[in-house]
Amino acid sequence: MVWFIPFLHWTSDLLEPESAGEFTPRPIDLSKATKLKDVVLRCGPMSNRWVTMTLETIPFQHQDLQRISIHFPHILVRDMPQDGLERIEGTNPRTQWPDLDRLLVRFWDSCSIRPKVVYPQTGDPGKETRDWVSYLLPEITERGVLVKGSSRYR
Amino acid sequence: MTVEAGKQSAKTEAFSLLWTQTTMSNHHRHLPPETLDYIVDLLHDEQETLERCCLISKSWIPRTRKHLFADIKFFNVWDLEAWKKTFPDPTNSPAYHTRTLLVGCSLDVTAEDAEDGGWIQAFSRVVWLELDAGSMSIGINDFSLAPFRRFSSSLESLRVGLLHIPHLQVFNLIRFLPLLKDLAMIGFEPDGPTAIAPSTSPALTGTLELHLLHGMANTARQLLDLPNGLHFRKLELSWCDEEDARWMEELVVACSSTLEHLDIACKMNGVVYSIPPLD
Repeated sequence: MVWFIPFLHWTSDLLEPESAGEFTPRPIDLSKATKLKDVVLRCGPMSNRWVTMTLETIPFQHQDLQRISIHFPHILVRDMPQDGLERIEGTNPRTQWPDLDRLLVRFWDSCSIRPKVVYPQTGDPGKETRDWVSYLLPEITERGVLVKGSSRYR
Repeated sequence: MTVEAGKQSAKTEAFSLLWTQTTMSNHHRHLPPETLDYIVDLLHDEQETLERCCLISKSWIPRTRKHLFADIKFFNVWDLEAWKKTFPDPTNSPAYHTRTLLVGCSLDVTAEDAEDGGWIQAFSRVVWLELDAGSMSIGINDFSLAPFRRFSSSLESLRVGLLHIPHLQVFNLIRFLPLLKDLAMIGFEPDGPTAIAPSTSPALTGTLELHLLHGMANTARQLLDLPNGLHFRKLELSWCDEEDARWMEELVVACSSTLEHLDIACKMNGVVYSIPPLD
């Protein structure tokens, strides 16, 4: 099974899959943003670890926080005549997704913050990413937090 | 009845009243001006109806103009020419009613303003301004956003497409906008000289939106250097690389005492992963 394929972009040398786990920018420290009510994090390729680390800086005793939304990256669905696989940007199942899953569950259980996980539309009803998101974030998905997003990537 | 249905019903009623006005020749049936104003205000988002109102009676024109010209868009030079042809005298144009102004041809607009002795100032009550450079019919070095400083007594939101608008110009404009709450800068962050740190600073208490394809270093640095600090309540930021992530953190920290909404998008490109078969 091919798990990942390098995508030729200008940053591809920085983000070679084998070393990609090492490339995680410093998370944003949200511990001092005590009035924060609403956090929306739109994942890009390789940023799921950064998303987890950033959310970890929010103290659980945060009084005002009401909403956390995680947007999955815009899907790249391509026909692959060789193996028939569909592809999605930035969702290496080997890295960090279980941590994010657990963290979102903790926010729900400890702070009553019901997260929202938004998956992108593909424009093709047969190629929804919902199942793939459920595979990466199984526990939080089971609680019914998935929302279909727009097909446009901001 | 839903709110939307209620609004629609009020509008229908308003239109019926106006229709009655137009069909009644009896002067005793005329509505008092304040009632007429109220009815026209109800129709503020009914462009076609407002246009019809303008044709019915001269006395109806001032109030309908208030709504008809509240939102003006100059997408290109032809729009601009049409405006100037229709309203050759800026002092007597309905620009006074404009609250939202989009200028998709900022280069041409500022050039013409210089030639015509300041027609931009007629838009003296603009609250929300969107600027894009548009065509490059004049040299970028001859271009200045200075005419838009005349919006200083009203402007609260500024949105700039940075493709051809020099970064320096934007920051030199901002320093003349004391009421500015929201700032959005979108597109490429150009190289070039950085602005001199202004001695005064706008309020900047609303939303900061930065979607800069080649990094946000220059812009973030300029913002962080503003003397009164940043007090944004909402940050909408896109980041592309590690340096961006660092500047983004600085912005968040700078606004941490006021920040209520944070919306961050990662625009890093890199790897495509295949979807494994699901059991």
